[in-house]
Formats: sequence, C-alpha cells, structure tokens
Amino acid sequence: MEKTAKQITVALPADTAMEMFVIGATFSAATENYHRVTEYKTPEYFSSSGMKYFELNDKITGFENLKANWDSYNADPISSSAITIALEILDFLKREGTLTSGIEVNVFPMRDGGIQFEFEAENLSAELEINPNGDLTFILFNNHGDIILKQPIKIYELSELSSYLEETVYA
Amino acid sequence: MPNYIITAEDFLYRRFPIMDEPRFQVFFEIKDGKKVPTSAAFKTKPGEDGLSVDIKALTTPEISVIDAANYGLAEIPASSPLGLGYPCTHNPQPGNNAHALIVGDTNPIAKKLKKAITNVITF
Repeated sequence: MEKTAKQITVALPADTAMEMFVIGATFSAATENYHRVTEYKTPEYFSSSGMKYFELNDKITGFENLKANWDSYNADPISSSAITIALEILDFLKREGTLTSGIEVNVFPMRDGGIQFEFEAENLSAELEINPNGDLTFILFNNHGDIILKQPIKIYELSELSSYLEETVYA
Repeated sequence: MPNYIITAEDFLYRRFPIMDEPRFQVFFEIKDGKKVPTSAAFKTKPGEDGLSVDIKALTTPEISVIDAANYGLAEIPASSPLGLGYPCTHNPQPGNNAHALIVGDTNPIAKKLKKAITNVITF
C-alpha cells in the first residue's frame, strides 16, 4: 500500500489509541485531544508476501483432507509429519523473503504421502521433496528437466536451501 | 494377455485430479488458463513397478478419464519415456484393456514427462 494518503486530523479523547488496519493507518492520541496520523501500517495479510504465505499455508493444511487414492492411482494420504515440516519450511521461506523474491513458489501433495515445493524463475527450476517421514531432498533441474543436483537437506540446515536458490537465480 | 506393442508413435494418457479441493488447486498448476499436472503426477511411489497410463490408441478420453468432474487427462508421447530408456508395456487390467506401464522408478524423469505433455484434456 502506498503512503500517499493526506495527513488527516481527528479529534479523539486523550489517552486513546486505535489502529485502523483496513485503511492502513495507526492513530495515536496520547497527550492531546487530537493527533496526526503518525504511522502507516500494512496488515500482513495485505502484503504480497502475506497473501502468498496464507495461500500456501491454507493449501498445505488442506492436504490433511486428502483420502487414500486421491489421485485415482492409489496415492497415499499426506502424512502429518510432512505437513508439519512443510509448514516449517513455509515459515522459513517467508522469513527469508523468498515468497517475494521473484521466485514462483508452489506446493503440491505427493503420491507417496509426502509434499513437494516447487521453485520456478527465469533460470531456476527446482523442487524440495518432503517424504512421508519428513526427510528433505532438494532437486535442481536444467531447462530440459534433467536433474543436475540432488541433495538431502536437514530441516535445521534450511539455510542451504536459500543458498541453492540464490546461487542459481543469480548465477 | 498383453498384445499391444507400444512404439514411439503412440500417445499415453495419465489421469490427474482437477478438483479445487481441499481448498485450492491441489495437483495441478494453471498454465495459459489450463489446468496442467505438476511433475508430482508422474512420480511412482516406492514399491510400484511403474507409472500407470492408458494407451490412447486403445481407449477414448471419455473412458480413460473415468470421472470427468474430478479428473483430467495429460497426453504424452510414448517417445518421451522410451527415448529416456524407460520401457512402456501393455498391462491390461480387468475393465481397462488400455492400461500400460512406464516401467521402473519414474521419479528421475518426472519433470521431463511433465515437460513432454502435448495435450491436456478436461471436460
């Protein structure tokens, strides 16, 4: 949200504080009976990062509703371990700014009960597989879909994921 | 008994879910306004002998899709797995004479199979 709104003055009782997230402004009236808008705030769910985060978060948590044979080819239900790890990874990606870095991030259920993240950009095609036990494998592809790197990653070493993505995007 | 020899001239159908449940798109992404399966649709599970497909020449899209409200079909040329060294064998099942297998663990070629999609059929 752009900070282009005019400064406005409102009359409020002293010691009144109110937040108006919808219009993105914070009002404060601590010592005077009127006060200027002092801070603009964009609620998290209005930012592009927040929108993407909540979209993917909803999608991941929704995977628990998939029943056996959800793909008509005998796919397994998505494991709770995979869902838990996927949500941790999503939080990590948000903290790292990956969701707004120009990399298209998506997430899909896997037939074996795992979950896969997909990362696509102009010169990046990668997947992060979470198997039903929660183990992670990062896979990097060339433009033809050939695997050029396949690397296990520990959940406590997710910085490696950022490194792989950044190295590829900025190569 | 298997009696159809799959050649590079054949095309194969792979079914994929298109329902927007549980909340958002599940197993597909939108490309040029069409629902296209992700590479996850082409990955075998551990213990599977191969990836199930239908031979286009032995069926119709209407039969192969089974449930048109919830599934679509991705069409790939048999030349793609064959060219990558993956045999494709006729594997008829009760009620589905068109069934075939892309034999082996298809995880390493799933991305290439997705890229090989020549047509997506939804009803």
